[in-house]
Amino acid sequence: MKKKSLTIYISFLFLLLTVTSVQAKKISIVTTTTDIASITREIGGNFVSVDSIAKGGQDPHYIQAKPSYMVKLNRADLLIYQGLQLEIEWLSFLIEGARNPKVRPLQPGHLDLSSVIEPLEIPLGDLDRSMGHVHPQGNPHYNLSPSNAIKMANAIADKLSLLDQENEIVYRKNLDQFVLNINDRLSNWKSRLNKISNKKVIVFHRTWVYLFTEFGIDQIGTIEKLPGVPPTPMHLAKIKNLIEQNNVRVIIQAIHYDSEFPNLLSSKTGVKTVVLPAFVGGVPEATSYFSTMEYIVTKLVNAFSNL
Amino acid sequence: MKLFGILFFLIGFFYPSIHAHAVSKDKTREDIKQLEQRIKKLESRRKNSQLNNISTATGLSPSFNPAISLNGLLLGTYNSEGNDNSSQSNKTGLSVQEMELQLAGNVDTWFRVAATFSMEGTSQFGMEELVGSGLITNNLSLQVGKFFIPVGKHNQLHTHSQPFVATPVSNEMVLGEDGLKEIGFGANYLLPVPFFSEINLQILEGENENLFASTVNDGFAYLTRSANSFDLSDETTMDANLAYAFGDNSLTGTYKTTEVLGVDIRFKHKPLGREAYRTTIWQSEFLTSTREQIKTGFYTYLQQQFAKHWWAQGRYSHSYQQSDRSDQNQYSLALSYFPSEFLETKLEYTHLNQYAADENQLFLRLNFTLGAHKGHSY
Repeated sequence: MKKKSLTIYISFLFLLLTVTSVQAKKISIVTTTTDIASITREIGGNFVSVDSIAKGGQDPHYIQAKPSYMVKLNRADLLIYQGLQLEIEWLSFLIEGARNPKVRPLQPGHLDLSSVIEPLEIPLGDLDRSMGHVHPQGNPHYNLSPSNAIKMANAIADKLSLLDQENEIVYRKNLDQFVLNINDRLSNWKSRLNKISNKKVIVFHRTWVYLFTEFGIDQIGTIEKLPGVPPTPMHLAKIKNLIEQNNVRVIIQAIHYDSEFPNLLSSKTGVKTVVLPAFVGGVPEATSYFSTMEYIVTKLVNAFSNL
Repeated sequence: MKLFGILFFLIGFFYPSIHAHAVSKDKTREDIKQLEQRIKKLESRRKNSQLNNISTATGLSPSFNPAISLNGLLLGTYNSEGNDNSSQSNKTGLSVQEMELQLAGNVDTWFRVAATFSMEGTSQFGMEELVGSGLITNNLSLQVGKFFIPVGKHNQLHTHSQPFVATPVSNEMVLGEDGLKEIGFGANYLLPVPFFSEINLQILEGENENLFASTVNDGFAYLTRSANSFDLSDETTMDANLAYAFGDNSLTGTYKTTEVLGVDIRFKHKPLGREAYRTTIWQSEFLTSTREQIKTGFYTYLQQQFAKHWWAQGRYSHSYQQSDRSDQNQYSLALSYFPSEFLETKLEYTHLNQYAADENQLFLRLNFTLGAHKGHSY
């Protein structure tokens, strides 16, 4: 009896040690946005623990550099961020405050995903602040293009393989599965959005450029006068004319923006306002990158079919 | 003749379409030609810009210039007591409250420097901060130079990022009108605990005339501080900090050492998502110093962002000096408008209740930032 108890005890200890060592092996990853976190989870599977700083419903331009985020980054093996100055207001404070050499620029634990995509809307000529919250290296909302998600996933798989060569096969396999899943869905999303391609829309902020480029939707104006600058009455009048002249039926805005101006235009012109999540977690249904894109596509198709 | 007629008819019939096709082809060719010319121009411009970049020969490269920013504070003041009293800090009139020039950049892979020069009024130009910092190892960073000493939260803020125009009387009384800035070096260590907890240790020259200013050569001042932050929820954070500094002063005997204590606490509530522009901040700070006499003071304020570009705030500050049992009570109300992160207009009313005649102060201030100024920490 005693021998049996001892065997059970030793087995339990062994199991505990095994679980602990498996847990300890996990790569700790901090991402700036929930889309990056979702894709990283798909690629890293059980070998990673992932935490996103921005929540899905937040505007990632304006996150508070809270000390608790420094603690997260202090414990991280890898920092993955969107770049193109999306996080310029707050990320440098977190990196400095984290005091973690691993995640500093040029270190293996530092990954800027904008380096693997082709940025759109790179402003030409000299820039200054009178142009609003302009991004000199291009529009940073590239996560909303499924083709870019594949590029992001590739870069994440490369980085995880570099940091954890032992499990490279798993990361490559997960990457293949992710690409397969995206491509399967992409043809479906394309065929559904094909019905509304070339439809003209007005947006609140230039959040959707990559999505529209991929699916052929025509953005003809923004409610913001300039990026990050609220509209003047004159600009609103111009947008109202644009809506009427081009028979625009839909305004699209991200969930983290105030609906005041879209609703005002809606009341004056009868145009419909569609509020979409710009990141995973923006609405309860958007639990992963796939479900977020599915939600966006469904909402867009419904918006135009109900007119 | 008949054949000629048919040919003429055919040419006449097809000519417009042949001509149109030819014209369209010509137009395409012309377009391509124009595009080629544009590409050549751009390539040549790029080549020229590369030729202009002769830094290898000159040894001068603007690519590595530090980030430069300029902050300006233009102030209009009304004081009910007029300008007769020369010791009065806020006088009726128009002024450049401060201009601040900041240069920041990486010196090399390991060391970063930020220098801030300030000009009060239009003539007094001086160095406000010169801070070098570097990460030594995991969790440990070092700081060296001249910097604001982290006794309380208010003392660490540059003038343009202070929430009110009038300095709290508690800070003026305990740390002096210019606050506590010292030359020295220090170490910051992030403790390996589940919440944010940092220990600062600093060795300082001890130049502040209100507190230290030792005449003895080796009369340094020393500071130890514990800074802590807890997330009460995703939307609410509490910070609690405690700082203690001591050092020799210009006196001898019983009172030759000055001790300073600062305690501050802050709650910040910022809703997630669409309500992100409804931030609430409550912050309080207690300061005391012991020298030949005890000086104490505190302030408490509430700030509310009620729209994307608007903040309203109120503060009460109290100071007390044991020697003459004099105290001051200061009440401030302010309304701020931020068209962007780089521009602010503030209207503030402050009532100062003191042993001398009470003062009613009204401020209207324009605060702008030009250039590559970094955002402010949490």
